[in-house]
Amino acid sequence: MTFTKLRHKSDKIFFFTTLISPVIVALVILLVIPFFSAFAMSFRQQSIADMSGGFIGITNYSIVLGSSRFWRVLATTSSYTILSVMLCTLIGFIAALCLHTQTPFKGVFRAINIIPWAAPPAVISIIWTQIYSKAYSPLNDILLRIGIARNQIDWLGFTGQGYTPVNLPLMCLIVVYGWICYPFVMLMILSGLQSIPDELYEAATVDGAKDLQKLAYITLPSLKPFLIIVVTLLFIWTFQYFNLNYMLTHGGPRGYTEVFSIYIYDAAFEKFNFGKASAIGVLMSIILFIPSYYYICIALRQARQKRLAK
Amino acid sequence: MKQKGLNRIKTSVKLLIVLLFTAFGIFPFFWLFLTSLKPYDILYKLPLIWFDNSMNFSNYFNMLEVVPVFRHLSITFVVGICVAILAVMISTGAGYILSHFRFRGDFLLTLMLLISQMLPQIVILVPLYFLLLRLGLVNKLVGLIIVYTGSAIPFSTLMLRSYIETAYSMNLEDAARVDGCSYFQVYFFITIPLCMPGIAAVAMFAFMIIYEEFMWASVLITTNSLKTIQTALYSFFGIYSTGTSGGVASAAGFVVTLPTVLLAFFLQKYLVTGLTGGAVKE
Repeated sequence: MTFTKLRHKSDKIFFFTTLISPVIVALVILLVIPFFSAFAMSFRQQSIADMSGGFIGITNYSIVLGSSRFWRVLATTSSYTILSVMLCTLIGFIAALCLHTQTPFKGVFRAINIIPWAAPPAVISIIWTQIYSKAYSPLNDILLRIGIARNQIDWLGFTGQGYTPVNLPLMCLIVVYGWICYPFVMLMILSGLQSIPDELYEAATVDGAKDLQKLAYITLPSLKPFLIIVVTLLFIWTFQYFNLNYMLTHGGPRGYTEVFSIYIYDAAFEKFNFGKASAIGVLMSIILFIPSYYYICIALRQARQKRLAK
Repeated sequence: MKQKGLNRIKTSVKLLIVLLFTAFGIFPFFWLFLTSLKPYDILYKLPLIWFDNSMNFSNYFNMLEVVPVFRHLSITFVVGICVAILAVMISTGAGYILSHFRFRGDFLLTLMLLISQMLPQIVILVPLYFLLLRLGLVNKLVGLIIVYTGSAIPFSTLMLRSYIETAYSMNLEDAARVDGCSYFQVYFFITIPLCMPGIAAVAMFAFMIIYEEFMWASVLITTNSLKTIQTALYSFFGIYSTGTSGGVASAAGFVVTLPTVLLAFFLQKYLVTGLTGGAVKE
């Protein structure tokens, strides 16, 4: 009896270890160790000029924090993130509201509106370099034909800060990001809308509520948890977004669109100053710690609730 | 009667808004398609020509001479399929354990998975690059596969955990255990077959993410003949896609977009769960 029990127990342990250890090994080697060695590298002298890897304390940090470039990048990234998140949340939210209720061809429109999110970044860069080009841009063409613009606008190269208060290249990148990510918001909000029981609306209709009242007192409060998740996640993603910022402008013209990921990439793989790049990366992670912590709390709470409900 | 008229107005306003944002969403692709049909002599004429009788599909054939699209596509497919299989094999086990066992450290593991999903990839780019350099895996597809598998494991595990938690009732497993199945037998003969739809979805999701990945591929692979399709497209056309090769670039772009769009239609149901690390489930 005791023998079978013991065998049973060792079976269980063997099974458990076999299934769980690959994930732990992979996580440790590919994520935990690299993160801590990035942290360690940020305190070392590790650049093309001097690969000695000697400990130099917080020199990398003081160089980075002392440069005006860091603070400009911080401002650019923050405004890029906030405006992008606002733009795609707004479009995605409206799209979800319209496509949730009875609309002709609902399914077709839902499917079409996923495409921007699904398209690969290299293709998106091919498309938008054409749209934002100076001479052969369809956007300029339309604006010229309607008569809004008088001459061709160099969307990604315009830095006439003296003429306009806005950073035009950055605004262009924000539009691209909003365009990529509104399908995600739409899908999220749609799944949130599906979770609202119809009885609530029926009861409200019986009580004589108008559409706008239903929106304000039923839909929005019920969507609040979903909106919080969407905005937090988007914030985290946008803040570290690399692909199209790199492909479309490379941070240029003259650093007007330089965000953190480009700054790090430039420090590491163009200037080959790995210590400095790691220091910037650590600083960026510290900034992202707050929203990430918040998001992880939400995700863990949801998981626990699901388990309890089961 | 009055109510009916009001409803009709409401529906048309809604339809108008839908058409507006759909136009915003689809116009860039429409333009890509138009450009891909334009032969060279009308591509760069001002004012721009939107439609013309001379449009044809010749760019799609010329594209094959300029870029070996199918070579890079097959490289990407090989890498993507390897990663999908590896990630799913590793994550199904972990997802099963996380959904079935309570153990010391299960909270820590979930936490680690969530953190690694939030962690900016660009921060670990440099150390991992050095690690692969020391192992001689830079500029090799194996290195790329290893890195990708690492980045696919967190979301695959979280997706599969939430799938296994809801996919089937525990009674079936209990019955099998009573009949004398070992843990492995239950796992291989009951859990995996029953979770196959979820596992397939996660594999496709991982494939899609890898297919679209750009940053790692551009750092780790610099040999032209080994580039994945994203980096190949970018290095061939990138910032020069308004140059002489605009039509060809657009044709290639159109071809490369098709697989992911098809996958995305297919995966609609799983996208939300996958992207939120299981915090939102449809």
